[in-house]
Amino acid sequence: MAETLHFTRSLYAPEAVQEAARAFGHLATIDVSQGEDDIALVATDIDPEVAHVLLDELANHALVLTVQARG
Amino acid sequence: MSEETADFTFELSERELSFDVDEELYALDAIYGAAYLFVDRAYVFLARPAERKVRVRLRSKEATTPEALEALAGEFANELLNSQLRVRIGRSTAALREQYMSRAFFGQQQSSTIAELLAELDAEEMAEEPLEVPVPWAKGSGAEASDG
Amino acid sequence: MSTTQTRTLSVVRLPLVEDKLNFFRYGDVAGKKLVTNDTGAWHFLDEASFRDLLAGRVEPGHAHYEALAEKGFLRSGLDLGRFAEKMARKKRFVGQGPHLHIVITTLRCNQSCKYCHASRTNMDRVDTDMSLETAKKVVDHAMQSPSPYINFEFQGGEPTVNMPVLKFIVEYSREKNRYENKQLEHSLVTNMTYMTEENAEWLIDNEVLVCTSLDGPEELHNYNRTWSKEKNAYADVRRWIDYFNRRYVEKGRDPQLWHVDALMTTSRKTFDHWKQVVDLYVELGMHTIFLRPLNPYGFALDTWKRIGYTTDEYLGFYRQALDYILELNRAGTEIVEGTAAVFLMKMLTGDDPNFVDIRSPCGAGTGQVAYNYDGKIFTCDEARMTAAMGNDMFEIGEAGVTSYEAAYGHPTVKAMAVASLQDSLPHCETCWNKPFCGVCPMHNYMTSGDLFGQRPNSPKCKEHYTIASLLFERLADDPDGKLEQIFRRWTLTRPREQGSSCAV
Repeated sequence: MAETLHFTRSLYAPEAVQEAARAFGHLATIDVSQGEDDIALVATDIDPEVAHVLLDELANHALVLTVQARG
Repeated sequence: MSEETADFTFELSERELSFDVDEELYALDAIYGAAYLFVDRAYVFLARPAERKVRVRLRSKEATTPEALEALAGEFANELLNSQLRVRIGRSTAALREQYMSRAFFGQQQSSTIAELLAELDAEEMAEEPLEVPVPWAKGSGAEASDG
Repeated sequence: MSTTQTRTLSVVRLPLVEDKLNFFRYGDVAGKKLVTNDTGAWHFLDEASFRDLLAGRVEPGHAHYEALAEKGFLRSGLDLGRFAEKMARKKRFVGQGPHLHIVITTLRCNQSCKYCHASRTNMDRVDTDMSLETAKKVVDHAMQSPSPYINFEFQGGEPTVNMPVLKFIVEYSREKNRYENKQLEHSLVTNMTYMTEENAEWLIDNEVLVCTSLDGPEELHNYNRTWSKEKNAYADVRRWIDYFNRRYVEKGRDPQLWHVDALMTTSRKTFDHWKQVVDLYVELGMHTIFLRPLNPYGFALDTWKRIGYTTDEYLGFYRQALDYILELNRAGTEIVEGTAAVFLMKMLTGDDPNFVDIRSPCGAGTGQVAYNYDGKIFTCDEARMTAAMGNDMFEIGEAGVTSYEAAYGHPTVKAMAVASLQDSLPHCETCWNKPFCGVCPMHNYMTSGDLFGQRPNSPKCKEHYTIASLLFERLADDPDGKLEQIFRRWTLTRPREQGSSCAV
């Protein structure tokens, strides 16, 4: 089953979202597509043990990296 | 100058709460600053429901009660105010900080009084030359003294 | 199906008069507002006075005007030159180069401690001894540091297992220093169980500072520091501490400067013996006890279950032990808690102890380096241990191969500096504790896989924040000023430059 999350580009640094997707890549297959206003992540083949928190954790990581990048 | 109250309206459901924060009142950096502090307890997600508005959603990591969620909302509102205050203190003192940092690390000799400093800053703004502060660990990055 | 409810809450928005203030940070400590600034100055305000400060009402005649103006919180009367000088003094270490040079003379060790992840090898592994040729290259490399103070700190394994190299480094660096004229020191971190009278006399005669490991009373020390069944590690440490201290006195050395220092590592078992640990240090005439937590990495899970603990458990222990140490001080016993002393030096003096683990940026590659037995250079000793676990990300060169410029201009050194420069780290940049604190990217990396870490999830952040809070809470509740006198004395108890692991 696929799960999708949309990150608003004006709120999340695209590199941060990419990096977060990479960091969680061992737990699911994560496709990243860059839209004009948002970045869509589609996660499939999610490790069942973490399926209930994967996208939430990934979103936290993307937020932290975005904040960090603003220095 | 009197103190104002700020109203925060939030929506509460089983494990999460959400606010809409107005960027006209709170800098984006303030919203980030507050949101960052909650990543240990909550899953934090930001969205943009309208231009200049940020929707902050906090989903508790643990099972929770409505009272605990309300308390979390109160904490977030307080942090947002603190964060906004810190952003304003930071911005309004940025020029002073640049001055004393550059003196501390690179020994630039410039005028000491606030009045002279502000006059200098005004002159620089008029000349459209943004202040640049070299990063302390970078070699050879602007250590030259300038006798303003 | 869950229902959604809408609620509204009101909070007070504090007015701010922007042109009356200098930059400061603030937070809630001891039921008051604590304000701090970039020179390390701090001041407690009640809520009303804090609002006065923000609203520009702290003017001549206000109860806090003189203190806040003197400390540089107000624009009124602010002397930027003086403020910058104070800040420069606090940050004097920036750009000085590494002063702490940790040399692993061998990986061989005769002990097998429960918490050790120092990549030790057994005593038959002579191939993990540093050679004289490598030792010469290490000294040649280290002495190029522009730091006016250089400390060679010998670690291992058990460094005294390779005494010829230790002796060579002391003698060769002294010889080189005839031309360099730096303040040069040598210190040894030893378990004392391989000590001989001949070596002890050489160390005393050659003014090598000696620091040992002493985890507490016999049962605790011997439990942590497994040795052979026939031998008693505790008895050996006690015997050699007595020997060194006696010989220093016999040779007329100043006991303030010349005494054996000791380090303890807190394991779960320490919690049952914390009072005896402090009492033992007092009984031995130690000047400092450093209540160090375990680094929570590199352990097998079952080992961690036996000896590990949570940050909250550690901080509970720390609070109890700190208060006991203060009680002893009030009764006239002079003993200092090491971590507290590092923070207090930043809080109560115009100086900074240049303690490489608690400074901004951290000392990795810019304040300290570690040389493995084979000459490989690492940003710190933890980085060297990480390499032993199979990750050489923090290796920055090799003595005799890599130039000084290449090692200290290495991208990893820069990354460590950026990741620990608190002025640009989320939360640190606005935290009241920023002037007193420090971030360890290595700790972040080992606990979270990311050099930058996340402050809300960082055990080290919680540890530093809590320790600084404990100290400020005690300073805020000190009506007769006696506690501050004790704390101020702690900041003076540093006869040695704070370069080595032991010196506080």
